[in-house]
Amino acid sequence: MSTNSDDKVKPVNLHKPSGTAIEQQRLPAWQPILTAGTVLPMFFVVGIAFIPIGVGMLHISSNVKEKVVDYTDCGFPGNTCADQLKRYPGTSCTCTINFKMDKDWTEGRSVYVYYKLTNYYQNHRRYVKSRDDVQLLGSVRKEPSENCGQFSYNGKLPIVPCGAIANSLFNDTYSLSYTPLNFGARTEVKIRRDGIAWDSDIRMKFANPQNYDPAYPEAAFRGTAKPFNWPQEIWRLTSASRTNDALRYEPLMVWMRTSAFPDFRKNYGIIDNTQTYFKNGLPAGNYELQIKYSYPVKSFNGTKSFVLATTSLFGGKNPFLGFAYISVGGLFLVTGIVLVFIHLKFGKSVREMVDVDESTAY
Amino acid sequence: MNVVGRYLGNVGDWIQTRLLRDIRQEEDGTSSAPPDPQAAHADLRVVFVNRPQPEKYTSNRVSTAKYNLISFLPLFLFEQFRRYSNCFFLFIALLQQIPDVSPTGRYTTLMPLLFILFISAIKEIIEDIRRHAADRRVNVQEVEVLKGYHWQWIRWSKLKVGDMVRVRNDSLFPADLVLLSSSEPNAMAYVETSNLDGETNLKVRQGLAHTSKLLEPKDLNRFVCTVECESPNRHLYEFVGTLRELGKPAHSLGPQQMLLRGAKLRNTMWVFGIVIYTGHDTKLMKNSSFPPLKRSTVDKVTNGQILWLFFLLIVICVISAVASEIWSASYLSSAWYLRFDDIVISNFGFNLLTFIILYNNLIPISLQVTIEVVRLIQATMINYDVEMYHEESNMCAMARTSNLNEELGQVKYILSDKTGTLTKNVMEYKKCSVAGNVYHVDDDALSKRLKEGGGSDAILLKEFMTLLAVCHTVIPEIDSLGEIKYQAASPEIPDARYDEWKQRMEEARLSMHMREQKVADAAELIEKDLVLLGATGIEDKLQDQVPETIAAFLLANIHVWILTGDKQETAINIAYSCKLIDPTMALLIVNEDSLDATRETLLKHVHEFGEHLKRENHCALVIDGRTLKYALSHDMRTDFLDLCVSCRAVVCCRVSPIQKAEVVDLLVQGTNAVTLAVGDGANDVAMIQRAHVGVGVSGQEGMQAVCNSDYAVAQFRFLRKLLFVHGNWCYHRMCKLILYSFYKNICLYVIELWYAIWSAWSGQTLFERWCIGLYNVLFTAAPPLALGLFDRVSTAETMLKYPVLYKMSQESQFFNFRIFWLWVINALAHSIVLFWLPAWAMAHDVMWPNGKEGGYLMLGNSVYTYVVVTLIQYFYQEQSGVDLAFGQSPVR
Repeated sequence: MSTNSDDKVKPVNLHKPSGTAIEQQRLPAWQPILTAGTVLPMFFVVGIAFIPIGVGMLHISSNVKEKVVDYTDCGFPGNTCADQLKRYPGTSCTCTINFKMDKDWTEGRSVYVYYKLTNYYQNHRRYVKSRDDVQLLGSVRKEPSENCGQFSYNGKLPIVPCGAIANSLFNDTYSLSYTPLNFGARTEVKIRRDGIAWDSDIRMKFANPQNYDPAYPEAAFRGTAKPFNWPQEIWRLTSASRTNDALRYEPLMVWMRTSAFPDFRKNYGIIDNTQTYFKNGLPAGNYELQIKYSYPVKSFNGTKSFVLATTSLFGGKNPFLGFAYISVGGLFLVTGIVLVFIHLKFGKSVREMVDVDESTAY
Repeated sequence: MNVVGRYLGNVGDWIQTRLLRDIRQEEDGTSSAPPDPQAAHADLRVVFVNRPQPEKYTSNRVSTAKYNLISFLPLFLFEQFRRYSNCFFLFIALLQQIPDVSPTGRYTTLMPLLFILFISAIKEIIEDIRRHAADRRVNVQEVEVLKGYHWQWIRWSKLKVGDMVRVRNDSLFPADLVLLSSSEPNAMAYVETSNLDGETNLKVRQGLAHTSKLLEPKDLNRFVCTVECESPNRHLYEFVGTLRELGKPAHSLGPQQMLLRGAKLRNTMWVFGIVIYTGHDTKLMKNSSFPPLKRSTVDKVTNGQILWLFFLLIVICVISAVASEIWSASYLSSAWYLRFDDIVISNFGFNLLTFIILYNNLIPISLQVTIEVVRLIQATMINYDVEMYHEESNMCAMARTSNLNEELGQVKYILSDKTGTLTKNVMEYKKCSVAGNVYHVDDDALSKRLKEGGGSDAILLKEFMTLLAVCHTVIPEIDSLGEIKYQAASPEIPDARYDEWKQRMEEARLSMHMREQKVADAAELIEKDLVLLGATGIEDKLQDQVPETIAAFLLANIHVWILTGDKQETAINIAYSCKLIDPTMALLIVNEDSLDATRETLLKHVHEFGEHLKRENHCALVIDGRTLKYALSHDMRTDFLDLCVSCRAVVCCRVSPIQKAEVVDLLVQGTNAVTLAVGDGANDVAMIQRAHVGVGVSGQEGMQAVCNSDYAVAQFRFLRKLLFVHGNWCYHRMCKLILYSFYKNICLYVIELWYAIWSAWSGQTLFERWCIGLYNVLFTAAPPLALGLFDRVSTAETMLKYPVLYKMSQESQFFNFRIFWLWVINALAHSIVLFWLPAWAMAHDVMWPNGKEGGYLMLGNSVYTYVVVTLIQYFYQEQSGVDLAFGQSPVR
């Protein structure tokens, strides 16, 4: 309590509140009064609007092309590449898979190449944090972040890029060739490996050291070690155009952006549409996929797939949103009809609801 | 109309003195047995005047501030971390510092916690700066002190016990002083004590006869004496002291010689006084205490639910940690890409901590500070209410505490004092009765009879009028307009056998111990053989709109009980006139002399009620203080309570202050109902402090009740708006705020659990850490505040017109165990939809025409955005007429 010694003479009515709307809590307010007349039409509006939206989305999704080729067990039966990798860890094996495309994918849309892994926990907490963002921006000689844990040093040399994510970089490579259905020669389908990373990653999150010279890339990385699982040093990661090399190697950026779920796909590349045959996409025909198989997944019951896909306004092929809209719309319609029935049978008029007096049952 | 007969004489004074003694005994916890003289000796203060003061007493500097520069941090932190929630979040913040345990970074809890502490600190600092400023204004005031033969101005803060001071007209007394002499004859002085007790009439103080001649500094300088007195205490109307001058007889000092700090000198040029108590020892400071800490029902329910939620949190964490163990055992050994050397990954204890950190925000970190801010503003709104402003007294309603706002919406029992609360306590002379004849104020029979003379009744009448004119303490005061104002207090008595009696009285007064008892004995000697001349009839009118207000309360299912010190007939009359009871009601009057008789009567009534017991019946219970004492005894309490709650109204008369409090206790302990005690006098303080909500009516009987209340109003009728509008609104707002705060946090953070299913139970968070850190303090900070401040369940007019609407909040229809968990289940359902819809929609990772895939932050940030959007939408759905704060003010 404050002291009562304040002896100033108070002017008359000093205490009278000013009575403004905000002080008297009389600001205008609006509250919707929900009645059958306003709510029931909402159900039908939502129902009628959502179902066509859903159908449209389903249609768009169904126009998206997708071809998934699982090559986990590729190789000779009884001696698959997976078996070889198990016996000789760290080696690589080459195998081939043929598949046929019945329809032309030649609407002029880009065809994207993905690799798909399943039962692979890129979202494990310890895995996700095991990286050094400062190092990925080019500070390669500094002490790696403690987040990299045991993937920090090889002997006394700092590992670049450090951490569990980089260490487990996906390193299978594909070469695709095409043979027309009727006759004709086999043509190699070139896959570009640039243009697949996020723009923000390219611009802001990955950079080579300041003294990096594309002519002598190893110089900038002298005094660093490669990750344990990698077959080669960081400066050997080069793109065809030689613009995005080493730490700016786009497949590395894609891999470093860890996935949300244990089943995921990641960008491998884009079918090069500068080639004569493939200007408008991939024509129907026989395709041969040759895989340099070096990434082991069998031990933890994972699978690997090669994916060819086009996209729509909403990205990849996914009918879920269409179905969701149709179901919600349908649900609203059915609920609306039930409520209309209830209203007609048991409802009260607005007048009955609003006219409340002392005799109204509480 | 209520007519209260009051006998002339000092009966009123006696009652007051007795009352104060009762209160004092209650406060001191002493029984009516005489105090132990030895013990009393121990707390004696001896003040040496014009001699060195051997003992050092408290300085006269007062500080009402809570903190100073050095003590702020430790005290503030201590206050903050007494709250469980803050401790919990500190614990989480510390856990996050352990390397490799936190899934959300190191600072996601520390930052919001610091932010919230920062806000609280700013609030505390602002409040304390105000107190410091007020203290400084007080401490730098100056007063004249005798130094040698001269008066010297010094600051109040430098004043010491034993100093002689001169105080001039219209100045405040700087400390508790003993009056020596004054500019007026016989060392008289007039003081205004409204700061102390709210009484605006002037009071007379008079120095001792033998000090009244000390009129010059040289006299004072030569005046060497000691003053023995009680140690500092809080009793405003009592003082016991002895003035001993070297080689002269001792003189007794009493309240009559006391000039208390806080009071003001009036109509007197100057006074000389000796400083007795300084600073925090003064009676004013001893009386300024913080009201007892009360917590609202909503608060208690919330705390209970927090514990349950904490339990739920632990359960979820244990489930997650066990799942993590199982997953690790089956998967980890074969996963070459997850091979980490250290043991942390498979340590159950560490995993448990990780999950506690991951899910900790199920309990909203910002709830406490949001509630505090909202309550403060709600309280301000109560203070601002122009409809609770009383023109005559220039008083607004005042929320003295803010943490009971929502409790005002849940009141089930109002326990009201009568005089000054229901009635105006402005005694208006109506008639008198002398020698069997009744004279009305508006006829002139009385003056006629006086003029005519003759007859014994005329002599009696003359005697009667003489006594009326003489025996009073009316002080005429000429105000600035030249009109005469009469300042009245209570009367005094002269008598023929005065001299003999005076000596006895003096003896009694000089005794340091048991003085009161001895004075009372002496007074008994003279207060006998008195002749009843006549009686005056005085009316105490009901306050404005009391019957309407009580009728509205009854409609709102609020029971009104009257607890009064007045006698039974008056109490029943008042109950009739304020429409609490009506003539069709059965009155159960319980007046018994003994424990057994009381038991018998109570049991009889209990049986009469039969199966109607504990339901509201159309009857009223009237009980007097003596019977109440028996009825409240241990074995009868339950029966008595059952009987009370079976009646529509209860009237307790002739009850002491402590009995009022006991009745409140009976209700508080025996039922779950929220009680509100309202009163205006010192005798209501105990019940105001005991009830769930204490309301002080600022009236004629001083500020004691107001100073101990939670809410103060100028008139009883303002309770209606306070309860029906502010209480109801605050209840709804607070409920929605709390429920919504829990809802929003559960909705977001349970998603972490759903994501754990897909992220190997590793404790990986789905959301980006800045999003987590800013969730409560930025992204979703506004909706709870808006609900807490602006939500209006219906307009003030509607709620005043239909008291029955009060039942919604009264019966806790919007916040109870069931409602809380319905909201929790709702939050769970929403979180499931909010996680799995985006998860399935993004199942193929590629979300754009450019074919690039998103990664976990793409999913996390999408889910986060949908959560925030859903919360805002849900806010609009849950609000009921939130003010459109930027609209134009309407004409209503």
